[in-house]
Amino acid sequence: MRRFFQKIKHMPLTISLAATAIVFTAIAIKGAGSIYDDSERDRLTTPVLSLVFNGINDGEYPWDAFSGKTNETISEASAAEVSEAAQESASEASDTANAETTAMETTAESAAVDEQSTDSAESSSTEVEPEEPVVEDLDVPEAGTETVQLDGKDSALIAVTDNMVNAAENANEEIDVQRESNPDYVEADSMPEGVNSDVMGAVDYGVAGRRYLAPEGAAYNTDTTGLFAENGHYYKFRTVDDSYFSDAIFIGDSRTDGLATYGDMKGTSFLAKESLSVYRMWKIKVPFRFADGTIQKSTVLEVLQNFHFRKVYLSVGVNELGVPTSVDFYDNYRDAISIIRKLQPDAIIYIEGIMHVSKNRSSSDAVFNNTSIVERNTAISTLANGHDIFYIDMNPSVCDENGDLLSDLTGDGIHLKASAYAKWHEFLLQNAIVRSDELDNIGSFPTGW
Amino acid sequence: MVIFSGLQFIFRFLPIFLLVYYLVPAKFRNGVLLVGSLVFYASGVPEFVILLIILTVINWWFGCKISMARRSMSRMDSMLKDDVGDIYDAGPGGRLLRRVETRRQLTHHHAVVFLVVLVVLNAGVLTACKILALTVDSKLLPLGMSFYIFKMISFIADCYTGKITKPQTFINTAAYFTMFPQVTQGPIMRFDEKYWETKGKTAFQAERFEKGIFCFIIGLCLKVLLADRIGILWNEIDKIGFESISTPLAWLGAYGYSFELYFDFFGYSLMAAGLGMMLGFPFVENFHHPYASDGVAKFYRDWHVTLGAWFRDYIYFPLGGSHCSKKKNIRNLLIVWLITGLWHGGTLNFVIWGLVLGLIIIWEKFVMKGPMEKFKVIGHFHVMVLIPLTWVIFAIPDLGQLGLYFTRLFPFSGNSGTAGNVDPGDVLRYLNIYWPLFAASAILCVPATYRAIEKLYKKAVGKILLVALFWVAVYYMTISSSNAFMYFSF
Repeated sequence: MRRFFQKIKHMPLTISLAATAIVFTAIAIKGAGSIYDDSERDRLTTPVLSLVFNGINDGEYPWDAFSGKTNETISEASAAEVSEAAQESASEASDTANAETTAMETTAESAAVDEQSTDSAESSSTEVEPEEPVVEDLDVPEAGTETVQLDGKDSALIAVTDNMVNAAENANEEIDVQRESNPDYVEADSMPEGVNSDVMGAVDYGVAGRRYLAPEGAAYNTDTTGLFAENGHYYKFRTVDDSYFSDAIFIGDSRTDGLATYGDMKGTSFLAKESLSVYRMWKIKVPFRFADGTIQKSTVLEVLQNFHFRKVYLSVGVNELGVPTSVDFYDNYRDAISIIRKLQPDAIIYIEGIMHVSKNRSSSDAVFNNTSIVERNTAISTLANGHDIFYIDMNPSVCDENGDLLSDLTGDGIHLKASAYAKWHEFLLQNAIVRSDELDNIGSFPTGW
Repeated sequence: MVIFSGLQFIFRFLPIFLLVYYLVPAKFRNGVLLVGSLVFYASGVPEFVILLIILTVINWWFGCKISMARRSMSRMDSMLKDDVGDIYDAGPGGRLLRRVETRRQLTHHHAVVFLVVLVVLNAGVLTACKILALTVDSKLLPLGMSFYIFKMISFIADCYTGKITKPQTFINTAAYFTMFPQVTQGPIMRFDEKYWETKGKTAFQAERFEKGIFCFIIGLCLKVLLADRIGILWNEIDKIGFESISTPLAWLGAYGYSFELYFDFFGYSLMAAGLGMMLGFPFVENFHHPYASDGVAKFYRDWHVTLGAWFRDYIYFPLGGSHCSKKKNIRNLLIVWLITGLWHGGTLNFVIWGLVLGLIIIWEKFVMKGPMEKFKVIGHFHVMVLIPLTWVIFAIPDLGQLGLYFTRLFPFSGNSGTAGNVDPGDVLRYLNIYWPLFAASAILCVPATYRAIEKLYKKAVGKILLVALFWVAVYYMTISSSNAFMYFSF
């Protein structure tokens, strides 16, 4: 025994490693019931102390394990922070009250979500968590601002200004006046052909992980009544020139970022950042490339509240493939569209179908495969209404007949090569909607609200 | 589990293995190492563990045969030498000696046949698997085969030359072939007879174990915190497409890839050497500051040292090395580098890579020798500019794409960016993100840095820093294993 301790004396590094490992393990075990979710860990491959590091990545620090916090109280704390921020920025007392209402609702909801997650083996705190887009009014609201409470799973407060309301009304008047002179305008009882893109299918190579797909017999909440405009008249695609994009905003992930960099689309505004997703798009700062070439960091929300766009292109969904399930993705996508609709009430919204991946990927990757992409595209395409929200699917421009992204157009199987963005650009030019109120109004610069 | 920089290896396999290894009596340790290594290998590629065992048994058996032949040959040699005066004497003694001489020749003949059969068998299995991997399915090249086959060939050759003096026990030989620190990616450690025989008798060496932990942490950090992260740049360039990268980005990419390769393999080798030391083996140096070399020939004496030494001892020297005519020397160099190229991969770019290196070394040796001795800067220039360019050849298997990359590196050679739309600001965009990694890489190419690290390690603050770095590396390992978006966020 004495010899043992003599040897140990010469091993300070080894001892410190072992000691720190024990400390981390203890923290993990202590926090496993409260701040960490240990239901997903494969005990054979992953040590319990990994919970601590995953926690740090999710913003839950080791000392939280000892402060008696639980998942629920933590969300409460962060919600309180949000409401504090709202208090600082909002000048009206009523707004503060509203913001607090939201914060409370959010807490109640996340508690409800937590209850569900203990039942469901699918959910995990180690995944990118679908978090509620807590939306607060960051600008000093003008007098007479009306706040709108959104329906649906995620509640959020959106400040709709008078200008936004007026713009929507003006647009409707314009449409009434100019309806007859627009050749792309058709009147029909139900949505005719050529109003939205068809969802491009793809060969199923049988590798898609079940946990990411919609469960058997899952129902999508397609109840869009009241959310979108009335039926009865529709617009068809036509070809336009680049001036069409000058009052448009393209929101998306790294693929849209590539379009901004390599798509030869100067004079267009972009809000694009890698890994932007429907789960995170309201929380993160994104480089905002304004049409005049200036770049600044903003949140999507700030940009949409401050600037008036006539077209909004949304291209997200590839990062979300790793978050179960398609139904959850759809719900969040739907909420995102609703928020955009509120903030840009007279804009044409384009839902861009998720671009497929290469055959190499699609036939070997449980997450990033076309089976999953087609399922999700089919889901989000139902959000289009042919009036002010349209589904466009650029996949036929870049895929082979199996629905696989052509291998010579991609280096990594996920993104277009720089030289291939021209195909996407070309597709956008050929699949544009010119609404009646847009007939005389193509090529203007985005203005402030 | 077969990756050292993984949670399962560090927190599951390794602690359990070390406990068992040091709790059993010393004489059983090589046996524990053998069993542990087979478990380790089987956890990665269970379908090929049988092949590893079969090759191990065959090589051990024939190694014994060759050693025994060798021993009886030397016994007969001494008999012949003692009585050298009487060989041609008539009478019964003389006849006996002539019989001994015939026997000796026969034994020698057997040893040669065993050697040739075994080398052909080993090289044949490796070649066959490489061809199958290339033509049918890349999964058909068993994990680590390029390394363990080379160990087997060196073992057999050392038995033949007498470096290994007597037949070895199966446990020791098999543990040597399969030992988990080296079975997947080397280093190609030589069989040190004295060491393996006495190993069973030595007690736990605390200082060596501690030094092993030190090497392992440094290696782990080089791989996880540097190589894996700077490697993302090459993916980005691949994503953009070579036709659309600016010339500065092409160069940045070449250096980024060179650093990734160096710190990935250097880091891995340090981890392997560290693991070996934890088990009581001596340190095996696989990289000796190659980027500080003053010439490509020197670079490759310091890069993947155990592989270079293997090629030197078992191919270059047997061919005659440099102790022959200039013409033959050049031939030998080209043969060695051609085989080196093919060993790294079967596609044409590896052949080109090997031959280009061979030619550069010939150029240095026969043309530039004088100037390079006078002006060290020439050799450093070779290492810092030519080596990254050769790594580009190494990186791109498609020759069309390879040519394209070189037109981006040297835009005056014809089509300069007409095919793609180049973003002239791309290099700044990436430098903005990657400059800390490039700075760290450059600093870590300087030998003095490692002297400073070793000095620091002796102090308490250095040890605290190392422990902290280890956990930072674990943090990155954790989030990259549970979150696929860490390296692949789109």
